[in-house]
Amino acid sequence: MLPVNQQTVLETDNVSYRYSKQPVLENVSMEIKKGSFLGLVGPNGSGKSTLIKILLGLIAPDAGEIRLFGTPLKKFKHWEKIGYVSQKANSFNSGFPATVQEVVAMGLYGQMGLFRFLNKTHKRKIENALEQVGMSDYKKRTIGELSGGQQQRVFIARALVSEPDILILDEPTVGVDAQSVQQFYTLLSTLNIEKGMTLLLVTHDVGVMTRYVSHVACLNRILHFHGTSEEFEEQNLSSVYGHDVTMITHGHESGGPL
Amino acid sequence: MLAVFLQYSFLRYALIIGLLVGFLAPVLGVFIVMRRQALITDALSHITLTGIAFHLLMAQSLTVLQPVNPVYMGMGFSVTGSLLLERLRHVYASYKELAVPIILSSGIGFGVVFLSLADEFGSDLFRYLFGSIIAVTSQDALVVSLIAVIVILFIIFFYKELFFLSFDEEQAKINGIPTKTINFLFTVIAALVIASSIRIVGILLVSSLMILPVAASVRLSKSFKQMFVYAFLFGELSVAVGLLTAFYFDVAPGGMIALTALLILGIVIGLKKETH
Ligand SMILES: Nc1ncnc2c1ncn2[C@@H]1O[C@H](COP(=O)(O)OP(=O)(O)OP(=O)(O)O)[C@@H](O)[C@H]1O
Ligand SMILES: [Mg+2]
Repeated sequence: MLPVNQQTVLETDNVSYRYSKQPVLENVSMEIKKGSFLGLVGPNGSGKSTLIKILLGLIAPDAGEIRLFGTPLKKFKHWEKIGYVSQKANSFNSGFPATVQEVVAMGLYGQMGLFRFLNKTHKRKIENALEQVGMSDYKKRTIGELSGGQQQRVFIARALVSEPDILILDEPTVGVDAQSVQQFYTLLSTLNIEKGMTLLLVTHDVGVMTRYVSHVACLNRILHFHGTSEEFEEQNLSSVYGHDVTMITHGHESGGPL
Repeated sequence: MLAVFLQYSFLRYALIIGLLVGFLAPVLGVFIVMRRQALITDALSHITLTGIAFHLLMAQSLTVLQPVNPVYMGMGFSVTGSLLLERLRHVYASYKELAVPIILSSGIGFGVVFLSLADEFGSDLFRYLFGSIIAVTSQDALVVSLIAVIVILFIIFFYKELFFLSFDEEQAKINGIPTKTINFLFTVIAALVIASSIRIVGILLVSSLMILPVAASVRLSKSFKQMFVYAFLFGELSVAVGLLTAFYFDVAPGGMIALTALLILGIVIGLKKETH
């Protein structure tokens, strides 16, 4: 088990939200400590992506408060500390003639500020990020020419390039083959354990995820469960999901994450 | 032929303006097309027409306006229209494309009423609709050169923000890019370039110079930077060939420029039969 620091990276306090009439989130209170790896699970339409969008300030909650690195969201300025890979990252305009390198460079633009140009250090960071996701050989290719899984890796590199303190990933393994999923989780583990990066992962692969994460949160409009992965494994899945589900759980060691 | 062309000062000024908008329009067009907003150019050019019509109407009673080029009023309208357009895009957040026909039809509606009241359906109108190379003054050339400098500086300094915004506006926002400010500035810049291009290509054909070279470029480009190189080349080629042939055959330059741009697009599509 990782030594989990006490500093809270991300915190939601009684957050509620509705798109029209139907409430999507109700009184969600959750926190992520520095250095932890939280898996956020829940059935389709349970409000996971909505919660992430609220955390990122893309939509404002109807009630409740969000704090990022201890700062209320409205006052938060250090967006370079947050890396995000959206669920629909691979549904961008596929005809866009941008190279992999150009796409990853975008991840640096926010922290570079206005009127600044890419320099050698930036270029080295881009190389590093591509190397981390195993896409160095593709840097000159246009993004539209890559497969869905490869594109997803490029978007992860774009999130990593600014060396964020927390990386938020919304279902990054959709459309990624089994072997790549394995590599992907290994990459996340490395980032979490070796670099101490805090991770928030939205996923449906509950079985695989529990082997890597330190904490689990189960959302279905309300937060049904929020605790360590050991505590999660002792729970009955249907109770945490809020209704009956059949889940394939892969055999895994009892020792918890790695 | 070129020598004759350069003999007359108004033709020289027309050529200067033409070559300036020949790259300004398609370079902005790259961002516009990538953001899937190609129709915006039509909305803004039609709003320019409204401004021109308004000027012509006002000039009948306000003699001070008579020596002024109506395109300036058009520019003012186009910039205002661009701001309205941004607002409408927020009002109709999930039907962003609705903003375009709203602005476009109000532009034509008001334009036609102003023109009728001013009784201006003659050759002047024809010039504004399809462009002209006669009576271009040194002042026109100066104003467009000034706008060109502003646009070039804008693109150089905001290149990375514009690029990110064109690729993925939501992600750009999360990364702390001031998307609202950049969108605002970009629309104003686009309005200025459109109004500048009207002198030569005309209201109805501005979009051909902004969009067709980009449409050809997108088929050949292997990176975002290359998009600009091809768009620049095709834009300039269209203007140069278009202006010279228009002068030679005595037809509206807008038509010849649009036809040249179309020909280039046709060749590119023919050469590279691959879907994009
Ligand atoms: N833009 C929107 N307008 C209206 N309702 C929405 C919108 N986006 C999502 N919803 C609704 O809010 C609920 C939660 O959606 P959300 O995308 O947060 O679910 P999710 O947990 O991410 O699901 P998935 O696992 O399928 O990605 C759903 O019932 C959905 O229908
Ligand atoms: Mg989702």
